[in-house]
This record gives sequence, structure tokens and C-alpha cells, in this order.
Amino acid sequence: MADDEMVEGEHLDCGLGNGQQATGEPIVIGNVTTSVPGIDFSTGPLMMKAFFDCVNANGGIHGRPLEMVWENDNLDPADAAAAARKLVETDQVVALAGGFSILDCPVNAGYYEEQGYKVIVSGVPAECFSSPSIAATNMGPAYSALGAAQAVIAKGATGKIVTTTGITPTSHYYNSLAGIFIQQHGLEWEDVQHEVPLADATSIVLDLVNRAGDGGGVILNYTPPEGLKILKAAEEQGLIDRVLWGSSTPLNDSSVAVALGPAWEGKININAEFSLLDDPRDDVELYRQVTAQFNPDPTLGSFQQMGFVAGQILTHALLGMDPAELDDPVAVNAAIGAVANFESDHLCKPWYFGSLALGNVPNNWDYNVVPNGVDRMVDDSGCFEIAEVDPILIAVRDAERAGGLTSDESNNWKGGLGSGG
Amino acid sequence: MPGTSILLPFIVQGLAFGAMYAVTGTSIVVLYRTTGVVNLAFGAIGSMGVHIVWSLMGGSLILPEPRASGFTILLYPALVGVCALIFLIYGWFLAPLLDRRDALAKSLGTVALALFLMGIMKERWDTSKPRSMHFPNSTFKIGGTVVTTTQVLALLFALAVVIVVGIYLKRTETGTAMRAIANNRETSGLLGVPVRRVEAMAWFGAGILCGCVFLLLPSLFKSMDQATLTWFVIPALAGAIVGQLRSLWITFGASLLIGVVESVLTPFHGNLQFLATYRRLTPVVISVVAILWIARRRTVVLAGREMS
Repeated sequence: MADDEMVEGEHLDCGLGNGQQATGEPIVIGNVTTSVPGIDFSTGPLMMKAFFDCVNANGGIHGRPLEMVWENDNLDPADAAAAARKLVETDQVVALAGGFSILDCPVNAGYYEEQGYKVIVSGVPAECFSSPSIAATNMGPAYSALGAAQAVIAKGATGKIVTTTGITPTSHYYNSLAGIFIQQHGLEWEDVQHEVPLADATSIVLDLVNRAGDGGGVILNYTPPEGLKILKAAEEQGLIDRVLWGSSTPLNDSSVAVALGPAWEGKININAEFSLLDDPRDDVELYRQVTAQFNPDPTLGSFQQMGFVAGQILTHALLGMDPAELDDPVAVNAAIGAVANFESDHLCKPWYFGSLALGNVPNNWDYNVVPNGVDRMVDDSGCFEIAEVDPILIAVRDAERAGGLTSDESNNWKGGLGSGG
Repeated sequence: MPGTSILLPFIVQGLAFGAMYAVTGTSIVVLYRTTGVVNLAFGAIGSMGVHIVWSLMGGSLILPEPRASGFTILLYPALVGVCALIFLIYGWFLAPLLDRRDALAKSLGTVALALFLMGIMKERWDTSKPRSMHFPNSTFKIGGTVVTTTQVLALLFALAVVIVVGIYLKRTETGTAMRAIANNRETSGLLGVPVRRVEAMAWFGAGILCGCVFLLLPSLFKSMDQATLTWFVIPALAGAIVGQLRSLWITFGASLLIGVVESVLTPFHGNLQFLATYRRLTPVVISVVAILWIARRRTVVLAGREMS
């Protein structure tokens, strides 16, 4: 069995990349994730686990394997609080990484700070971007919807833009930054929220398009299953060309492109917080290889990229440590907090933890992608800069300009939004 | 207040959903009258059938909406067969174990079945990725409103079900036996009605209706979302409650009303935005109002004395 695993992973450049199966006491990494009907983010951490499996097949962390344990917050604050305490106090994880939760950051940010943990997440609510102890691999629904609003306005939306998302305890935040940007550009803005799972997508899409009016814009901020319901209903009702369509990152998923088909070719602007899924560069190729070999249901998507990049960052931090300190949470979290200028082909600019006083948004340059009408999303813009409309991102950019965290230039600049990529 | 031209497509969509509520309600009423069970697993069984057929069609995470062609078109009737089979298995083997319990216990048995099936579905078909079951569909316009053939089919099917089931219960031997059991189970048995067999037929018939509903429902929902399909039975139950779990035609009318009201509240905004926000409470509100109305002249017996 061990021999098979060595053969399976030996050619992949995960961690040490030496093809040796890791052995011994595992290094346990924990995370809190939301997985309930209508809001299931589990594909993110499961992809991080797949990357860990690849690392373990390639020498592990100085010979020791990585192990991931995750807790479901069940969209319940009490469960979220209990999950964090179980991971830290009972399971005694040395680090928290790859979590993808609606409630983890708002409920547990203070606890993590008290405990001295530097947490790498796939961020959803505002609190994932406003704590010095938390840094996300992504930029979350609010900045991502803002990027979609930038694209929809650059493409010529007029009059009114309607944003929509599912009702959750933190959903007031998701479209708020897009709203600021839309109004700054002299357009009317309305945010419409619906209970998820969406039960009647046809009625909802008729209403969204009526509210936006001809030539306006509709920006979706939903998980793939929910967003796809609305887009399929829009197609059936003949509404695709009545407005300009935009979406935050989750719909950048190959399964969505397949399901949309030719009717949506080039018709929806999806903000992508990571590189294209078919990007030929090394790290993205590695992501595809790890998916194929270690993830039992291989589809490619942004949620999975978030988990993959979290795994890469954590592995980078642990491999840079003295092996004797790998079981010491203080040393491990100091190493995570010190990560800066971490280059990945998945990101427009190098990633850093930051520990900035107002919060961390290390991923703040994005792509605009559109469906190709067949089976994938294609680049429409190259990397572009997310607009600074809130104090946190203004402070982040000031810190970046001071130097030492990331590079000045993005790695895939093609002229920005409206340049045609 | 939105104008008629804005409301028309919402009315069409509401009628389609109301029709699905009506067929579900009809199934619930017939089964309740025959067996005393309010079947809350209706949606879970249908959802399970849809997921099984989706997989047999070749559905996967990289092919979220498989198309049936050639012999695989037979998977559509197979969906009806799967649902009918699950109903029959429960009705023949498990439901009799709760025969002598009250209606609440009997219904909780079906909740247990629903949770069991949901557990299997969550484990086998993860909920993080989109899935849908394709059903042949085309569109046409009436007065500028897009109407789909699935919406029309839903309405016609509901109407046909109410008429056919009504005739079946009145004119056939089995239908008469079902009505006899509904009136008095013990006496019917003593008079020679094969109670167990008639009940099994009621379960089987309800399963066929369930399968037919779930042929159309994923197309109306634009998804096979497990939670939405499973708990579809709750708003559908409201129409049956308005019909006092007795009248098929009142169930039909109330279901259409619930579907239409729920849908037409969607475009309300401004000062009336709250109507859109809380529109999914429509089935609850209508059923509560109906219960209060029905109960307004009911005689209450207190300490052996009738109080009106």
C-alpha cells in the first residue's frame, strides 16, 4: 500500500517533492467550515486535505505527515464556538488553516487572538478581513462582488444595478462594498436578499431583472448550486440580454460553465480571485494534478483553489521551521504570521499574512472571467486592482506600499478592466 | 403595487408550483384517508428517486445535467417506478408496525424515513456542487409572458389527477374499499375488506403520484437541491390542511391559491417589501386562517356540556 502511494505521488512537486511516504506522528491542522444545505463550503478544506495527501506522499514536513481535522459549524454560533475550542484545547492542533465558514471569524476571532493562533482561512464575512490574527487566501464575497461591480460598470451598465445574495447572519456585508462603488459611479443600487436554498428561481430572476431595468446590471453572490438556478431560469425566461450580469467568485467553476452551455457564452462577468483553472503555469498545473490524483470527485473551481493555496502556504511555513519546533503551537503560529512575499501562480500578487491592525486582505487583485459556452471560464481582463472603497483596503494598500509584504506589480497585467484582456 | 403585465409571469409560475402542491396534496389526502398516515417523507422519497435516476443517466460533478437519449429515456418512467417501490416497501413492511398507534406517531414514522433518506443523499451526493435533471422543455409566449411546456404540463397533470382520483375513489371496487377503510377501518375489516392489501395499493398509488411530481419538480426548481425537494412537502401540506385532509377539490383550489400568492408577492418592493421578504410564509398563513375559519362554529365539549 505504501509503495503504491509512493508511485502515485512521486512526480508531483508537493512540499519536498521527493516521492517518499511521510511516516511518524502526524502534524495536526484544524479548521472550522460551514456545510449545510444551500451553503456547503466543504470542497475548500477537502482540497487542502488533498494537497496534504500529496505532501505526505512526497516527504511530508521533514518526514512527518500532515493531518487535517475539520469541524462543521452547522451555521450555529454555539457550534462554531465549540468547534474552535475543541480543535485548540481537545485536539490540540498546532495550526488552524483552510477553514471556510460563515461564522468562524465573527464568533472566534477574539478567541484565536487570545490563544496566539495565526489563522489562514477562506474568508466569507467581514470579520475574516478585520482581525490581525486572520488572513484569507481569497478576498471574500464583499470584495469579490465589488470586483464584479467594477466589471459590470466597465462593460457599460446604466441606470440601476441590483445585487443579490442569500440571507445569512452576515449577509448584510456581502454586497455592501459593491453598493458603495456603484453609487460612487452615479448609478442606483439595490440589494435583494433571499432565503437559501432558493425555492423559486424563476420568480426571483424575473424580479431581479425587473428591478434593474433594461440596460442595468444584476450581480449574483451565491454558491454554485444557488447561482446556477437563477442563471438557468434567466435563460428559460429570455432575460439574458436585458441586463449585464455579474457574479462573485463562486461561479468560477467548471461545473457551472458546463451547466450554463452556449446561451451564456461571454454573457456573465465572474470575478475570479485566483488564476484561470486552465492556466498553464506550474502551480495551477500542480493543482490540476493533485485534484486528479488525490481528490475523489475531480472538478475544478475557485473554492478548491482557496483550499489548495492555503495548503501551499502552510506547507511553505512549516518546511521553513526547525523540525524540533513543529509540535509547538507558538513557534508554528509565529512562522505562519511571518509569511510574506509568498509567490503562487494562483494569485495576481505574492501573498502575506500581514497581521495588520485593521485587518488583512492580502489577495486584493483579481481577474474577470466569462464562460466559453462549452466547458470552462476564460480570462477577460488579466489581473486588475480591486477598488479601495473602505478603510481596511486603504490601510492594506498603504502597508503594501511601505514594502516587505508583496510586490509592486501584478504578475498578469493586461491593461485592466475594459481593455479586453 | 406592481402592474398586471409585471405580475402575469409570476402568476404563471405560481400556477405551476401550485399544481405541484395540488398533486402532492392529493397524494397526502388519499393516503391519509386510507391509512391514517400523513406522509411527510413524500419529498425525501421523490428526491431520492431523482438522485438515483440522475446517476443512472450518467450525471457526475463534471456533467451536472446529463441528457437522456435512446434507451435511457426509459429512466424517466423508472423514476416513477423507484418512488412507487419505496412507497410500497414502507407501506407493506414498516407502516403496519405503527397501525395501532395514533396519527402523530404514524406521521413521525415517515419523518424518520425522510431523515434516513436525507442522510443517504447527503453522504452519496454532496451538496456543494450544482446538479439538475433535464426534462424536455420548450417555451412560448402569451401576451408577452414566457410560458414553458413544463408549467403547462404541471397544471394539466394536476387537474387530471384530481379528476381521475375522484372518479377512481367513487366508481371502482378498490376506491370504494379505500373510502370504507377511511370511514371505519375495523368494521371494514370485519366486513371482508382486505385492509392490508388496500392500504398497500394506496401507498403504491401515492408513490406513482410522487414519481410524477418529481419528474417535473427539478425542472421547475432548476435544480435537484436535496433540502428544497425534501421539504417541498411542507407547503404542499398546507393545501391538504385547507381541504381538511378530505376534499380533493378544495385541496386543489387551495394549493393553486398558495402557489400563486407566494409567487406574486415576489416583485413587491418599497413600503411593501415585507410582503416579498416573508412570502414563503404564505402556506402557513393560509392554512392557519383556514383552520381558524373551519373551527369558528365547532362545538366544544367541556365537563360533559356542549359549549358553542
